[in-house]
Amino acid sequence: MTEAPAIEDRMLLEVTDLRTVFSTPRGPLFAVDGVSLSLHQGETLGVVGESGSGKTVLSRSIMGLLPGRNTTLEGSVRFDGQELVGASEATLRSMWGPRIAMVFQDPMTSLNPVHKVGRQIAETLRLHLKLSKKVANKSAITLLTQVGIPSPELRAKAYPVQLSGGMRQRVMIAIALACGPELLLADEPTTGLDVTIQAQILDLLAEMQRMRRMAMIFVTHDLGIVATRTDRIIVMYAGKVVETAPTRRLFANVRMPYTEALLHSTPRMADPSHTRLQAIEGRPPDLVHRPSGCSFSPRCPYAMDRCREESPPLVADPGEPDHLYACWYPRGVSKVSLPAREPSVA
Amino acid sequence: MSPDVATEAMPAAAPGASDALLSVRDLHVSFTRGGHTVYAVSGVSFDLAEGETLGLVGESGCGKSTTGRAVAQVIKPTSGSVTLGGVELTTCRAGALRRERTRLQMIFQDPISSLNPRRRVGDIVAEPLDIWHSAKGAERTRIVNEMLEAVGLDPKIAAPSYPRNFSGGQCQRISIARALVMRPKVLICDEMVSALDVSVQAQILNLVEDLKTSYGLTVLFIAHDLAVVKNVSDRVAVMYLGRLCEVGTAETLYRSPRHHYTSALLASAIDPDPNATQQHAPLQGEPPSPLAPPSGCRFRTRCPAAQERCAKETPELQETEPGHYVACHFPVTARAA
Repeated sequence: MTEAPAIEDRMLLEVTDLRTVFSTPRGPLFAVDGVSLSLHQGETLGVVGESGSGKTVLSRSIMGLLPGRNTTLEGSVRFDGQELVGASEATLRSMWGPRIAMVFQDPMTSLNPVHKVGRQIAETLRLHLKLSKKVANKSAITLLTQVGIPSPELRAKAYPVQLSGGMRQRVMIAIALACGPELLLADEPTTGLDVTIQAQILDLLAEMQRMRRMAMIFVTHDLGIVATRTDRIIVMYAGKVVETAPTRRLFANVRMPYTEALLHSTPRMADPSHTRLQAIEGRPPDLVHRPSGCSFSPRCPYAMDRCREESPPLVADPGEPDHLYACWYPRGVSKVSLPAREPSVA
Repeated sequence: MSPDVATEAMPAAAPGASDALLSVRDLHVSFTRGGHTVYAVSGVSFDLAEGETLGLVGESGCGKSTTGRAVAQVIKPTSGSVTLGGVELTTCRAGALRRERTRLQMIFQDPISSLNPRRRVGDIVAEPLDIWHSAKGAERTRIVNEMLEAVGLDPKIAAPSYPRNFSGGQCQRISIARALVMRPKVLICDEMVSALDVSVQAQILNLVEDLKTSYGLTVLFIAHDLAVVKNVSDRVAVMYLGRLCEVGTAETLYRSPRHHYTSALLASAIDPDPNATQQHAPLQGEPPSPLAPPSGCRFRTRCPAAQERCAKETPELQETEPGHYVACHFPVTARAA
């Protein structure tokens, strides 16, 4: 958490130049296009982007959950030193649950509707931890208690339809945490939940993370969630990382115009009513026929000729090796460097 | 809109408010299913002054959408009154109601499923004109083109295309064009931006603000997103389990909420700002079932300030300060503004 960073040095996840390409009838679709990231034990990373930015495909690529047909996965995903790209199904299966777990957006379709929720949790425990039926059932109830489900013995016997959306998401979290994973991937875990329930689920995830010293990747479109609940943020646009920095630094010194636009188009409760929002014109690019140069250039208010011709590399902010952005004309930087470089302009 | 217009706006619960364009009084909607009755809306009253935007906010299942639909008479209210410019809608006969409805239009959440996929956009927008035989031929084309342009679409490209060629945001623009083609007075927007990405959401919210001015619209804006509601509304009404908890100007209500539910709701929402104090879930538990709502105040089961009286007496909306109404026996003490 941002308040008391509990980051240990042990590198848990290292993703290098990951590319996920779907072959479609229209041609190859670059859903994830050369993404690199790293995550330490106990750290929380937020992955932010709009729909179609590739954030969900990224998290599924890390998990190794994409269908084999029509999908090419290139690059490297090293989890605790072990390569996951190209790993066998058996290797991946041994990782899912005890080492890496995932919470999906829609708890209704992720749970089996014809099994009682207690059994679904116990199943995970029996499969991965080889617990006996009796012990597993008992642990399932302990887990339900931990995720804050009232009268857990009773709820263990309920079917998913008998639970509310918030309760189902708690069950999903219980299943994900059942085998004590070191990394939890949460893909829009609170989208579709009410705001008071969302606050409960976010608190629960934070508490579980602190208790278990888990690393967590939070995939979301909601800047509000990542602002207060992550150590670091990755902003994705059209399959690429366009900016990444420690959370506070990112909000304080936005460099990439897309991040800036995203922040300015989000309505805030702190602003007075009828505050004009700075909308981003146009819409995200087609990932099959991508624009040349920077993918954001067609919508960027500051775009110059160079932006439309050359794709900007991800570079570090001067003096801030932690803060990377992909932009030829970053915001805030030009103010310092322009007068020195082009004194005639002033 | 200037703040003085907001304060001039009619109080929501004041009975007998005379210059309200849309007036809702003691609206009840209940559904009976399998011998059980769901009390979706229980005694909701509010007024909309001409040119005003009233935000109706609440969590899923609180009855905000049902309220919107009952106001538009899409769902027949069980009891209560809805008057639009002095005309009582609940007792209107079918034909008269259809005519009245041209002055009151709705926009829904899912922009793609609310458009007929097999009709061209130009015809979708023109449909209300065709139904009322209000324009034909060149005049019809002129009106459609004007509407499409007003919502930011190029009529030459949009009119002959099908909805499938448009993104969610563009489909929502088409829905808006269709809703405005009969020049309604009142627009009911039911979660109109919740399916859209934040950058597109901003485009649509700005568009609604612009059209509100240029077409003189009065808006009932129903949404669950507190920041979105604050952005568009002059006044805000907060709903919980079928009842209104609090009504006030957007500024006052967000700055110093008086109902414990409003206060908890605001504390749960997060602005995109790392310096915002990290809030912890202020509410435990989940809303009770509307099949068996709690006696007295419906929020009392989750309320931190609930006392015995809350179970016995149902709190009514009371004016605590001019234009600010709270339904609570023990309201949050006003913070210094």
